[in-house]
Amino acid sequence: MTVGGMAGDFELKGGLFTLTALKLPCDDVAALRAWLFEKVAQAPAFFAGAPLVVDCAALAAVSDLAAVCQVVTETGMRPVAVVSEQADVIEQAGRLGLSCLKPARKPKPMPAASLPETAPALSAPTGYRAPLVVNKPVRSGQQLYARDQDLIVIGSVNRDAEVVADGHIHVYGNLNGKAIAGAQGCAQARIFAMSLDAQLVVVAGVYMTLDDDHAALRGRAVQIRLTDGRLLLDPV
Amino acid sequence: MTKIVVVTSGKGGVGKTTTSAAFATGLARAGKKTAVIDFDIGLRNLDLVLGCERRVVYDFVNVIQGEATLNQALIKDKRTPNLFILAASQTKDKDALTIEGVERVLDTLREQAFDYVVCDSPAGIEHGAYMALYFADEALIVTNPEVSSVRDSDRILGILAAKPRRAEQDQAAVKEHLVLTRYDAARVKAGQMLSVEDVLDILSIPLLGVIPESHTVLEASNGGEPIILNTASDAGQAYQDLVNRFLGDTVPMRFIVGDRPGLFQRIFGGGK
Repeated sequence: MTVGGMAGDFELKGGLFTLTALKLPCDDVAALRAWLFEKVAQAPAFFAGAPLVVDCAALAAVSDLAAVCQVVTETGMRPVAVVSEQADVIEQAGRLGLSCLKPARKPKPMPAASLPETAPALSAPTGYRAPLVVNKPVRSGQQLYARDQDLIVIGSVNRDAEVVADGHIHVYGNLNGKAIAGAQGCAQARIFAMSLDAQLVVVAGVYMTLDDDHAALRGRAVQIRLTDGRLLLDPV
Repeated sequence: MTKIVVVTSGKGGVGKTTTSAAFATGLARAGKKTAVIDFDIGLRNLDLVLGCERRVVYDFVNVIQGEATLNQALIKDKRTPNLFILAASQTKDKDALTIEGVERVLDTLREQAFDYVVCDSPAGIEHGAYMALYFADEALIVTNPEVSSVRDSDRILGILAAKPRRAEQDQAAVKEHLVLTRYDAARVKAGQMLSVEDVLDILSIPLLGVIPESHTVLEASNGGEPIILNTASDAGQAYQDLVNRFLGDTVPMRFIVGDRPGLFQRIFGGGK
């Protein structure tokens, strides 16, 4: 006799899911509230109901984790876990019914990344951050993330490759994989491709696949932008 | 200096072992001291294709586990001077391969002044495939002109950019060569297969050779004689061209434009 009946057996499987992480530089709840509400207002649809990890890894202590989570809940997101190694924070998380995750090890640079170093990081006065420029194809199974930057790929983004940027994405080649621009909610971000045949395009959380309606644009130079909550594809 | 060349593809059944056998034989016939190693632990095939299956006493895993010396396990090819074969184990587990063990074997081959070590990778992107490519200096990416094979090769190219020791140590990247096998110019023309250009457009790596589809390949494998020794076969000739190109000659690409077989060829079969 099988357990689980018609629908098949129960299963416990490992899975990888994309979660938004909220990095706390300090535990000032008022400052967090102001900042987070402003952030969420930029793309409410993207954040609504989104599971969120509260990353306290940088903090030695958090005076009131419950208040932090309260702010998160008020914005419409749902805290699901905290990241910390501090016993007190872990204990607070336990009381709030949250899971506790170990801080990530320092991520190794992306493989496609013998990637050029992003030019002199954040130049403080203007807040301008040079784009991440990749000079080779992004291959099936590779992921690239341009954090707080635009991403420029000189080459193709192949099937089942994924390029993500907090700003714009430019692909001087074929965009055949997935492209996610405005990953942190910037609705002004756009995707530009010399030849579009993407599996998925996303701007600020609004996504679309290319179906038959877009057959005419396939293989053409296209820009994709978000207007009134919808993605528009225009030939360039 | 010994050059380590991995023959890999991601997808199975595209011609890695056929290519490894032909390529290693071609290098050896060009006067290069060459060893070819079967990394497909548990599913060994290379010894069959090279016709030495009855001469395998000790294998790669025996050497790694210290049960035999490398010289006991290396099989000297009877047809081709300079060619040595290290067979895979058919009974052991893939995990028998370790970085340290593989490195020891390769270092010993270096000491013995081998010019080339050809590593025949198993299919997939798991342990055996990693072991085969970890020490590579150059890579032959074997691809069939069809979408799934090209995508798997693309995946392997991504891994080749990230996983080998060269990448870990920030040395010059593994040099990549595309080998397009089972190419049928007539079917490409009919739109049933990807063309050379289509494949190059996706993979964007230099093309080393195009091997035409040919029944002589299967006959060669079954007969235990690497296809490159069949100089009447177009596939054999294409592998010889490939080896010459690898060694630095300029050889024009053949077999990528479909010829209509002549009347005699159609009746008598010719070399196809």
